[in-house]
Amino acid sequence: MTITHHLDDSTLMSLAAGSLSQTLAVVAMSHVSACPQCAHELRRMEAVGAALFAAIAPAVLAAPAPVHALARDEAGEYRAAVAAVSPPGDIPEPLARILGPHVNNIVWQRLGPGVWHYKIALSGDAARASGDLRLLKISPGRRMPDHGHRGSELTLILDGAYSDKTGTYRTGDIADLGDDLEHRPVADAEHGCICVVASEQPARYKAMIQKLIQPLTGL
Amino acid sequence: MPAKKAVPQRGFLRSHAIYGSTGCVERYRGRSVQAVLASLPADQHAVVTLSYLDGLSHSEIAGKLGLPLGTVKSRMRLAYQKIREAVEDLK
Repeated sequence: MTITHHLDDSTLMSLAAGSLSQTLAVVAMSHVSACPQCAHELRRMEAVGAALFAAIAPAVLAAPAPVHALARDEAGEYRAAVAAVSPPGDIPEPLARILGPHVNNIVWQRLGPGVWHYKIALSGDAARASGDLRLLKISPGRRMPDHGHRGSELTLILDGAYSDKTGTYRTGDIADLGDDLEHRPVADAEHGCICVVASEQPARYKAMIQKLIQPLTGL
Repeated sequence: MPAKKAVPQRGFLRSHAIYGSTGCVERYRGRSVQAVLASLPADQHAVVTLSYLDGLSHSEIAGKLGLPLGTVKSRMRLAYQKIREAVEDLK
């Protein structure tokens, strides 16, 4: 597995700071578990984060207890899983953990021609579990509808590949998208693509799905 | 001399200088980061503080400051480059 698309530095910072939402953290950590380069960078950012926190937080630390820091530890749970590097071909450990017993029994739901999904249920209260996390399976050569994004979105390739105007994303690669990209991904002509997608904005994602299930000419 | 108190460690706090080692290097690094932080332009300082201290996501920071998400992310990257340079100078 040769990884060519990595997490953006700003996403790694958010992960190190514990301020990445749960859905994004699961996918980010799944990439980190397979990517020595991002794992190294994350460790460095955690060290910087420690110094940074100590530098900017003296007033807070003088207060009774940094409870807020404990409360937003959701990313930490997934960081703990990274000690074990996920071997290629396996479902990354942080993702396997959240899939739990369903991991060997994914019941795919058809979304449209050549596209299936599996919505991953999230634990925790509604606030922490905000966003959307799902597996997508796209058949070989299938072209997804042109779509933009609102909020952050992370897509990790688990098997196969897809291409868009920014390049080709293969197993282990992560697409770290902000709200400034409109793209029309195409699944690999031979192997198709299985990926896990975390979005901050489920409503936006629904719009994409609606587009997908509309009868499209030329398909 | 009293035995060193064991501090429960989890997640992000595991690496906090305040809970972990308070060795010379960490304190020096802390001061250095503090100096860099103080020297950051106000717009970069704000996003770093909101992310690390207030625990806000980039989208939440964008909403709070009325900025596009991409601007928040680029300010975070710029700030980190400066902080990283300062920390690497110590090695």
